[in-house]
Amino acid sequence: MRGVDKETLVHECLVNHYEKYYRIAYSYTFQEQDAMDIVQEGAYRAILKSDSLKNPEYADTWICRIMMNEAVRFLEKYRGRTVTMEEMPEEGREDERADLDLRRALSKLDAQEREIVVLRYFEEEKLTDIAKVMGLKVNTVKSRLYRAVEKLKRYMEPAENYSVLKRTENTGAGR
Amino acid sequence: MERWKKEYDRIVVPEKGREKMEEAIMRAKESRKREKRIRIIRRLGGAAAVFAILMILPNTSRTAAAAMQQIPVLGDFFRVITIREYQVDEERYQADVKVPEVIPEDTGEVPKETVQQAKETTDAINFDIQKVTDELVEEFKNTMEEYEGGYGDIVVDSAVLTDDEKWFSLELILYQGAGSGYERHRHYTIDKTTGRQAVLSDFFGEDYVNIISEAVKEQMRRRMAEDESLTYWIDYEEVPEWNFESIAEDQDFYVNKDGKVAVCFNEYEVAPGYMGCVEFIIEQ
Repeated sequence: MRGVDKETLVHECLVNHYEKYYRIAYSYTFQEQDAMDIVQEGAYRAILKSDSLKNPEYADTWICRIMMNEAVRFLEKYRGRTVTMEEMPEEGREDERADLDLRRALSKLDAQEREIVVLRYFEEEKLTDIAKVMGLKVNTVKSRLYRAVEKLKRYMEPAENYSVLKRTENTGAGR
Repeated sequence: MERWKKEYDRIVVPEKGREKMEEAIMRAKESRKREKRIRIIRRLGGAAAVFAILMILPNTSRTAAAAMQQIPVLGDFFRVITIREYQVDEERYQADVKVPEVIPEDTGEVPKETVQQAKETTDAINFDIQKVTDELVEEFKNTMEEYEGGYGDIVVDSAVLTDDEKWFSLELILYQGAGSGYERHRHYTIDKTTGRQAVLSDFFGEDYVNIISEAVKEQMRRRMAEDESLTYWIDYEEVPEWNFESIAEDQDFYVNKDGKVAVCFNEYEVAPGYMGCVEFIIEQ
């Protein structure tokens, strides 16, 4: 009977945070259609596996992870189709350049670093929550996050280095 | 990082993706439902593998059932057959109902008057089984007709819990699900030496309500002290009216394989729903 409750919980969570899951998916593909497919597939999987959600408190973060895994699988399946810059959609938008920048930055990270950066900085999840659902120690998450930021720093303009580094240190000490 | 965060927040979220997601959720729920139903039946399949076979066969083939039931067992006095089945397998509604019937066998080993008594006893038991399953099926049918967009499933099954020289105990399992499920059990125990249905006063005398109630309370407290994941409604100060006070005069019970009395409570009766149906073995 407990399984049914979890299913309901996951369902509610999906509906309430749909936009969040979409953004996560989008941050992998930068393609509307693909992002929707990922969310769809991820939602299907989340409901199907809702029994394996151990801690109902972390339902949201748990779903985030499923979406990310789904996105990675998706990219692997269509490797080359969505990853190369040449195949960016033709329709020029105002913020296309901005999009590209975020995309380039994230592509510097490996799957795990990317997961942590998106959850921590973009979705503003707590380090302890991230650690819990990823099955890592908080310190491990911190050090991976630090390593990711180091990578991004190298990619960024020198002028921004200072502020990012400082922010990471603050985060590290505060949590 | 702030710059990227801003870009990230600017991602436009299409509403049609939400509909697609809802569709996917529905598909997943359907396939879970199917899976769950199979799991319930498997779980209800009886305490021992032997019973599982006995129970599955009668429903697959009547002749196989007959063949199975003719195998003589020591103390074989009662047999259980499926007299009625009701199956629904629709997208939203599922029913898997197998109504059992208990039949006393005149094997010649048992005195005539005991057989006669057993016949009366099983008639009463079968009538009761019939009544509760009819109610459940009726309710299910009504829901199915009234709410086209709803969901529901029911499972009725049974298991022989004890069948030794002295005791025969049958468990009737009634499951009703719609969103969340509710499972309840009913037990019937027959004393083979007399052919009568056992009652609690046979074991604990006239004061059985008090004796058993106290034993149950004591066990609740002990179990909770030993394992903090367990909860029973006792000494629960927040909602005192939930607290277990006393068993009913016709409290459900059966005699287990060790010849001991197991007092049974359905879901939610004396504990939160996640505890399921709970039992207490009461020493004589």
